[in-house]
Amino acid sequence: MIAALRYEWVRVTTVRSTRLVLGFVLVLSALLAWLSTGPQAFYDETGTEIGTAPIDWWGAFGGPLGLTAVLAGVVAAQAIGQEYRFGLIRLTLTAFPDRVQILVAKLVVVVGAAIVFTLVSYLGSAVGVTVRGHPLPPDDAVSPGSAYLLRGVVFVVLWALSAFALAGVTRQTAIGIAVPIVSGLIVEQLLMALLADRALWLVSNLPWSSAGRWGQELSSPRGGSLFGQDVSVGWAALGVFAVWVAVFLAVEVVAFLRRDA
Amino acid sequence: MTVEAIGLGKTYGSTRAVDALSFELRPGMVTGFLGPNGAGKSTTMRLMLGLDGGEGTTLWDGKRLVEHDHVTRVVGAHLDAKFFHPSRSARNHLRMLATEASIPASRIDEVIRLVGLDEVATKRPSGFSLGMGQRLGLAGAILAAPKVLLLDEPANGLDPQSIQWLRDFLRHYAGQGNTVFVSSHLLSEMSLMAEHLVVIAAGKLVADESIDDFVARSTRNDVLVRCSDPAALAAALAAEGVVAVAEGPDGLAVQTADTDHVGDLAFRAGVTVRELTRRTASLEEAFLELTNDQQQFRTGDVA
Repeated sequence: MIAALRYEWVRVTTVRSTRLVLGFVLVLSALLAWLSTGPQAFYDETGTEIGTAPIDWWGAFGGPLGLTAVLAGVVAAQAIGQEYRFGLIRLTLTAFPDRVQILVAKLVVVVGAAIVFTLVSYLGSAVGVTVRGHPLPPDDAVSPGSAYLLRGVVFVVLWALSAFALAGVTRQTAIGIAVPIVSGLIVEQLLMALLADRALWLVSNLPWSSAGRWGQELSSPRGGSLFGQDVSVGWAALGVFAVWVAVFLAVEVVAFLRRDA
Repeated sequence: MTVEAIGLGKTYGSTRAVDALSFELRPGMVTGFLGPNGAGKSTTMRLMLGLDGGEGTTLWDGKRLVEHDHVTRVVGAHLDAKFFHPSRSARNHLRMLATEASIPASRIDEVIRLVGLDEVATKRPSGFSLGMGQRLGLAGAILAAPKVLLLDEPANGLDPQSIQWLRDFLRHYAGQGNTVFVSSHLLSEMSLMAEHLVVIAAGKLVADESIDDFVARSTRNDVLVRCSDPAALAAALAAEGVVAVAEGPDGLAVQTADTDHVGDLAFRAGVTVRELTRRTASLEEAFLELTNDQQQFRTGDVA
């Protein structure tokens, strides 16, 4: 198992795009955090400044995670999709004929990479906030707690796993990258608009739009429910997304173990 | 290490690609794997390695591949010259493959030098020619010095010098007690490289024997005799049960490999012999003759 993990580690770290994407995460997170923590003044009808909006300090950390998740999904989709695209899967499975072993190694590396991406994103956000001149941690920000940051990690990990599973099932890197984005931003939004009156239970539990609610803090009774437990909307939404991801992964596991390489 | 392929079979839709194929690869020799296009050679190799699901099993020293501790020390496979990531350098590609058996970096450098890729080892292989891809694939296959080499068309795209190097290398590798199984369309190369042949056509085994025995099975092995009286010699041969066919105005193609016997018969029949030549089929001729009726993708006749 250790050899399979080392194989996957060398595989993921020796491709230039992985380092490039990680660099993007750092830079874009810093930029987005810097932009979102800029002074926002309020003016009255005469144009006189009457105050400034409070700084969304936590939003500066959570905001870039949407982009981070997509970029982590790129690396996750490549972890399996490029193996098929370039025929490397045959080299991989010749060296590691125990397919369970190599699949577990891939999943571990994808999860590890997603966690690293999230932490780098947080680091970028911290840089952006600090460059803006805000103290770290802030004096005046209302802390949603460490659970917020933890949910961010879980969100990116689950998104990456969904990209991995879709790319694996279809053997197409592009599918793994594009489907979560297109589905979350377009398809599920359309379904929500069309079916909200008739099938609220369905549109409330779609995969990527559920994932998009990871940052919401409201607790019961306005919050969510997961396995009968009252939790924040964010955790409940991630629970729904996790169930979807588990289904995608189950299909991928069966496909990976049974299909010809 | 002896490799036993037992009852390999694979069906794609309604096509039986490999059908109850069994053979044995022995150590210390190069075994050639021949078959027309679409005969099932690549599928067979993938079945042997467990890459494709199908019937049968392959035993490597009596065990399935998955039961060995370090698989890359058991078998090194080179299945395609393009199996690499275009932005991962050749050296990193080999570093990745080296992890399975914890092969040291010094061995990676040694293999890179051996296949002649030292000048491009740290460059992106996206611009590699087919020949360079073959070298990288071969480097990956031999990296862990496996007991068995499985190579699918490794000579494709190589220049004549590289083909000669490959031939010498594989013979040397087999000579060290290793098992080498190599498919190729270059039959002249195969005749120089391999000692034993596994020949398949339409997924079925046609031959599993030495090259000499395979070639000897061809009906193109005969004796050409040009003489003063072909009819008289043909009658003398027929009396001995030897078949002879007229060839040219004064020639006979005699279905035998024994020139002495033909010469003696001609002498006893009072026929003057002008030429007596033993004609041996090439591997290519024997291959074409024995597989021609089982070619899957048949070409049209040239006008």
